[in-house]
Amino acid sequence: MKRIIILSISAITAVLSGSSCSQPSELPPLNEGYATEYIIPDPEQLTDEDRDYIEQVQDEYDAAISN
Amino acid sequence: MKKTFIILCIGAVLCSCTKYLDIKPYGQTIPQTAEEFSALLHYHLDLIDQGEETILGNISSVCDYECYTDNLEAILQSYPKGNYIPLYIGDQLNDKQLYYSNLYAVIRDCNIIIDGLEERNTQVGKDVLGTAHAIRGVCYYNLLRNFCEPAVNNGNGLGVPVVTHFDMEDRVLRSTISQTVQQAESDMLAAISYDISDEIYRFNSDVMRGYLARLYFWAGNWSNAIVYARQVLEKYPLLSGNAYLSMMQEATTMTGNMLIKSCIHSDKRAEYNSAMDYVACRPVSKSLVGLYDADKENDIRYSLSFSNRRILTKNAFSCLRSAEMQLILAESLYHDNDTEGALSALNEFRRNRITGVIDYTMETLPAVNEDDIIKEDALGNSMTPLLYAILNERRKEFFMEGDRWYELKRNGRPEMWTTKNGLKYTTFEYMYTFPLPVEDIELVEGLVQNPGYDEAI
Repeated sequence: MKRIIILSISAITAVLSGSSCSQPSELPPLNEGYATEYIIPDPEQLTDEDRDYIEQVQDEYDAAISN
Repeated sequence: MKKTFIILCIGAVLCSCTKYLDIKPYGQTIPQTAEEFSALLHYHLDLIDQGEETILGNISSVCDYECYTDNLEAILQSYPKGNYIPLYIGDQLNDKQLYYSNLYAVIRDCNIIIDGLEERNTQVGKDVLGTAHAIRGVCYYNLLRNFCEPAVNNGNGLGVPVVTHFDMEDRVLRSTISQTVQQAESDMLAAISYDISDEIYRFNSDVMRGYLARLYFWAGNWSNAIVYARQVLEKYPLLSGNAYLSMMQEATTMTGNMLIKSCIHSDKRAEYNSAMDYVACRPVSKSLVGLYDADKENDIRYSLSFSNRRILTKNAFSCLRSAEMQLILAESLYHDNDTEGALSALNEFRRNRITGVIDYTMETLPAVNEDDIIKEDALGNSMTPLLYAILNERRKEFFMEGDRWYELKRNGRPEMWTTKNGLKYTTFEYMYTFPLPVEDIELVEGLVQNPGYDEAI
């Protein structure tokens, strides 16, 4: 009888000890599955007109600071 | 042996979950007195002195805002330093989500004070309450300018959620622009009514009158903008000559006719130099330099602002000073159909900046430069020579003070582009209004996002 009691206590203890904190990683990472950033439009290729403008800005600047 | 075994078993059961109900308010107490509530404010006030990006802005944020505009020419930028400053607003649009959250974190603290402070009749109590209203009003003003579309003639447009009480469970939807303006206005007026006397609280009645002028100006309430701008100017007249120069050459000291300024701790000098060093790799644009063509030699701001190589030399800072009131006055009079008054205010301003200047008349005002990216005014009307002259003075005066971005937003949100590594980066109209945080949109049912921010990753 005593043996049964001891075995029962041992079994219950083992179950209780094992059952605590069974989900240590219960909280998933906050960002998992959530979007955090908006999509910003991709840059475009420069056109010939754009390149001309850039050259114009550069030339004007070079001329201005060389005086 | 059996007893020992049983005790060990019981011990094993009891040792699990030793931290049951372990949540304790470490270092936190519920404020009771005005002094205790004031600690919440001093945290934010100290940050303003140190330089923060939420309430008043700091050197770094001012430099960022300048980089978004046509005041500096990104096409001419040198590298590698150029990699450390934003090429255009698109580089930092997503960062503005944190700015939104930070503004509401400050509003939360102000709400806790306004709701919870019982000691309302002592001077300390009045100072604390007044400052809480002042800071909350400034935060709503910042939200209005950054997270709402331009406010003039757009009262029914999307405002921001107006939160005036602390409630963690509350899910507030967006108000209208008019309601947001009303909230900022009522907070600023409340702050004035408390007549904050201790200068440590920074936001005294004069500062709040200045902010009211700014708010009414942004909202297109021209008559009230005129009233408050005049009140500030009476007490803080314009400076000229050496008095103006010495004020502008003080990077981290509040002086002259400044009403409030951030980053005033002298130990910020190194941080200041570092920020300026990076932004100096981007030359000043021809469109800004060209504004001085007629008065280059006599305009006190010319040599103050940049070198012969168009490298900026002006101090960057975030402050509220009288010059802004004078230009608010001039433009508000213009929109209020008092053309003579507007011209007179503009001429008075120019006399304080340009030695020996001859006053403009309606006939001698220079023509509008068709190449300027601003094509229309705040009301959507075509630019006139008088308004163009006012805007140009504003652009020269507040270079490196973070003003141009909001001027572009207020006057038509023009699209502009720049380049890097052979690619073209465009500032689109929608980018002048920043996005609300993704998580707010996902968590609060019915919260509407600003146009242009449809896809998130």
